[in-house]
Amino acid sequence: MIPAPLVLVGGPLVIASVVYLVRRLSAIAALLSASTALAVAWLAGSVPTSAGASTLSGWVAGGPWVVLGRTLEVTSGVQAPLIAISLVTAVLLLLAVRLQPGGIFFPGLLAWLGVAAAVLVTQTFTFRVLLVEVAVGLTTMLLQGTRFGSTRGAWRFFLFSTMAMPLLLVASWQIDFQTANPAQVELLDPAVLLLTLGFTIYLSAAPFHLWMAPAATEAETVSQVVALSLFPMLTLSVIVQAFERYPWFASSTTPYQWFTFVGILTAALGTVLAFHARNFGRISSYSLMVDTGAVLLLLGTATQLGLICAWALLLSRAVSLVVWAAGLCVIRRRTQSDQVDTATSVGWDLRLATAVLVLGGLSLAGFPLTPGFAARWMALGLLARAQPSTALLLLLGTASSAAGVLYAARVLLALGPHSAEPAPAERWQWVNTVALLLVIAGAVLLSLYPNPLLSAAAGTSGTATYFP
Amino acid sequence: MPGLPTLPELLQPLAFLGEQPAAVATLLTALIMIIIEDWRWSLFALAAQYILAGWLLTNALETQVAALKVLVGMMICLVLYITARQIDSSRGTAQACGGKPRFARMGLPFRLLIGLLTSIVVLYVTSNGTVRLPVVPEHVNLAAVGLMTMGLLALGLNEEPLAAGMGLLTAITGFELFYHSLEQAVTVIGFVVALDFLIATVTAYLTVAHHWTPEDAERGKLT
Repeated sequence: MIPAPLVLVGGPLVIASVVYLVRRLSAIAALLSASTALAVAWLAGSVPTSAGASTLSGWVAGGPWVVLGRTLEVTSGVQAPLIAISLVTAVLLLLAVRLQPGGIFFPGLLAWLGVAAAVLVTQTFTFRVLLVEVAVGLTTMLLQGTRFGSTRGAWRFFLFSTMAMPLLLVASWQIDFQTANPAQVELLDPAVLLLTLGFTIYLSAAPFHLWMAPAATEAETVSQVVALSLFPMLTLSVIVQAFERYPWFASSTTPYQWFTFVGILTAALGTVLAFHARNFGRISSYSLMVDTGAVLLLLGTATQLGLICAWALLLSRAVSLVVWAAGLCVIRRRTQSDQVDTATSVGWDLRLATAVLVLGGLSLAGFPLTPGFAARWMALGLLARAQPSTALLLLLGTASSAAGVLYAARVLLALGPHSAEPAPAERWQWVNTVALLLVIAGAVLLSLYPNPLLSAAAGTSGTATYFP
Repeated sequence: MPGLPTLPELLQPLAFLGEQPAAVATLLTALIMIIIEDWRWSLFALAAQYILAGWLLTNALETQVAALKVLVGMMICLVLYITARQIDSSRGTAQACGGKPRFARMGLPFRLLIGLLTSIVVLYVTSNGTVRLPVVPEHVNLAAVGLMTMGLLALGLNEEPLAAGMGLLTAITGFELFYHSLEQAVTVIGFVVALDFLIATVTAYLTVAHHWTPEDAERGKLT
């Protein structure tokens, strides 16, 4: 029998090495990678959490697995986040066939999934932090991809995320030391501070958001989703695990006060900047700042409903970003630029892509009748009860982000001569149309029936009994 | 036939350094990386920094484990050297690290001034006990705080991946001097060392992406 953690971690890594060999055959690489991601999602959901039980006709065993004295285990709290991350990964891998130049994306993202699984199943906090750093390295490489020239977005992401590692490692040592010496309770206060600061950096709260705009402007559209959506999901899982494991951390008021403070700062900054954004990348990144602020504010409420809303926002963000990326990719190919003004009237030629882009952008903003609305509405409702002023700020953020997207729509659909002519070699393929139609259909479905997203969020957040 | 020397015997020649001078020398290597733009000097300083940091780590870790850090440090320098050479050959210039426009704004006098001022501040705050890391001895405190501060300064001065990456590695080395005084589990040390190498790999990757053009990539078969 093979231990389940070994399959979940090793499986994607082994297949990634195979995918690397066939990476130039995009369709095969994507299918192989996406099937593996789906298999991870299925296995994460079906593997028994109790020791001695097994699945897959007895081939895969549940329960803990000890490596070098460290325990790896698929617990009930791990299953839902891993399923969510694997499913988003699978969608990205499939989408990348049409929208992303090959290169290292397929094997890189699959390896990322293996590392993410390792982060989730590792029970030792020190190793979890070290593994997150490995995920950061892979995310950086995916963000940069095979593009040449500016490396600002990828480098800043790497730098900021790496800066969190020392803080969390020292906090981890303090926790371990205090566990061994229960009398040294004075070590817990600095540990709480370090954990909070480290997690704030991972969540890209202001002022650690500076990588987002360059990354959204420069990186390949599908790669952005990894850094802007999958990585925050992984981070939130680590935060939740820290809350579960360390009751003194969950019961302290410091993290919640801090999350609320930086949440307000981040959302306010995003609100101000989004209104003036005249660049596709900046429009999405400032909308995401508002979204990040909302996630932090929800964590700051220290309630289970807040946690569910935070997960719902991140899951909706994944959907919105996928839709946005699909539209933006097509428009960028035409304009060869990220400036909105270079795309004047292009929308009349690329109607479908424009529709997808506007739908994705409005969804990122949390606009009504889009997939992002349900989660944003829930968040607004909760914050309105807890802190009405923050709900108002979030509402302003939604309006500001939507204004940026509507400006882009106005330029794209302006009457007049096209500012970007199609390249002679450019040829529209029916597969692209089908892909965009599928994206629109999925987005409309989730707009009308957001229950799958919300119930996934409820399942992912588990039973949060640790809040004060 | 005389037996092979043991690791402590091999390290014996470094004993002349003493602990405090070794810590100051470590700070000096970081200062060189701040002041001098040429990547060759910076890499030489980084290599020296790894040797000195390894020497300082022998206080807290087994000699063999500290030697592992030095060994990986040398591998990191090798990776960065190969990367910088590759950029050099494609650009035909010795300025792979840094970049003219940035350097034009922050010239040698500025770097010298800010580097020296930071070093003086570090020496002052560590010697009078204003900044005192727990557990570590005084000389390691100086080296750790010095490397972290100078590394962060290098990060602030550069956004070119090779120069900034060396700054990041310097800051991380400073942190490790402190962290390994606290945490001495071999598996953790091994993982942290592997992460150092990962940082170097990402730095190399971004350096190539920053400097190369698609034509360079075609010639070098990067993709």
